[in-house]
Amino acid sequence: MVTLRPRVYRFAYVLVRSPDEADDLTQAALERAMTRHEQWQEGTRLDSWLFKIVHNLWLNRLSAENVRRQHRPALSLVPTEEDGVRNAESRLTLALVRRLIDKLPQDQRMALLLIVVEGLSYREAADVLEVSVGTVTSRLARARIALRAALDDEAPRTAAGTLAGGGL
Amino acid sequence: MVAFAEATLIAYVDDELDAATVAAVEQAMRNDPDLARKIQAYKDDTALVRAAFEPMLHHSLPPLRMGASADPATAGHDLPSVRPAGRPGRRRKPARITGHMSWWMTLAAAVGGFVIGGTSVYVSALGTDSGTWLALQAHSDRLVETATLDNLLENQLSGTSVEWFNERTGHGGVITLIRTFQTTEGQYCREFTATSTLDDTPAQVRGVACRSDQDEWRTRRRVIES
Repeated sequence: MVTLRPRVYRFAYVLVRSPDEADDLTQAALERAMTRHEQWQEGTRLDSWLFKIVHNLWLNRLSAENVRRQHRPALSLVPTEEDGVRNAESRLTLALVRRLIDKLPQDQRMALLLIVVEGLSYREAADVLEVSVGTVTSRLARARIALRAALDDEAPRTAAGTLAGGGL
Repeated sequence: MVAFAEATLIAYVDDELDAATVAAVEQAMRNDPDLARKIQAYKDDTALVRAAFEPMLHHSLPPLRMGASADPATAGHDLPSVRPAGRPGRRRKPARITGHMSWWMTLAAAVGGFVIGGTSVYVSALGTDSGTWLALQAHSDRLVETATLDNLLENQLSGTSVEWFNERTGHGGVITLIRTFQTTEGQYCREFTATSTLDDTPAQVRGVACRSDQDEWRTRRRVIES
């Protein structure tokens, strides 16, 4: 059975970068979704509606807390399974990508998550983040350009490792 | 030759351009191998970024606390007060393994038609078919199977079977929960069987998964027939 909860949690996690806060946001957002399900417009994406709820809750909390989030730990997106050396090189690549994404400004990171990972359209992502399509477009472009440049920089190093690993 | 803004190339990769611009970009790609390479690189990035975010879907979550807070909009950051007792922070309650409606059943019951269809797990679409990408795809089957298994272990009663299918690789399988037991140390464990075509090898597997203190399912499996 497919559930949206892991994806809602992931969105919250990428947003706040704290497992507990992400968990709280996810719980609160799902509760809110259930109590206000009539506000969901049929024919629109349920996932992006849930993302929007998370984002709104977070904005509310931000203003309530008056922002004290200077020292966020880096994303620790460590894979949970252990299946041996075979996937070591793809692990390394993915770990690198996660580090690079983690260095992006939050605005850009969220655009990347919604559009590239979750497959939302620019329009839908703009709606979730409550900004214009133009803003989302430029955030995403900056994120993708920065990521590409960083991967190009890394390429000589990782390519050697990948070839040597040669698991397949 | 037409020069495209970087944002246009990116919008092309993200499938956001109108038909005329798509045609123009594709025309230009045919005449300009550098441009074609650049676009391919952005497409590869899509696959990479998706794969990089995939493991986050397998984070195990505590049971949904229904009705624990009033209106989250106003009660918002009072929520930590409804956390399980104990040290604040990482601690989570053990999963409710048997007998309870899982969160999505509750959600479905509450709103009707809310559960997103099918039995296949969210699959990361991995990109091109060369080199490391093959490695990533093989990895992806394992990710999908693991995600299915984790979800099953965490949320379903014994006797439940779930099918998974990775559209990207065409591989799939069935996992069935056999029984649940508690070790003398109080750890919850669940026995399961799995048939799959993981990594191109059809296999029948019997396994035991035990829930660790870190809320992870540690799995041991044995191939009984392949």
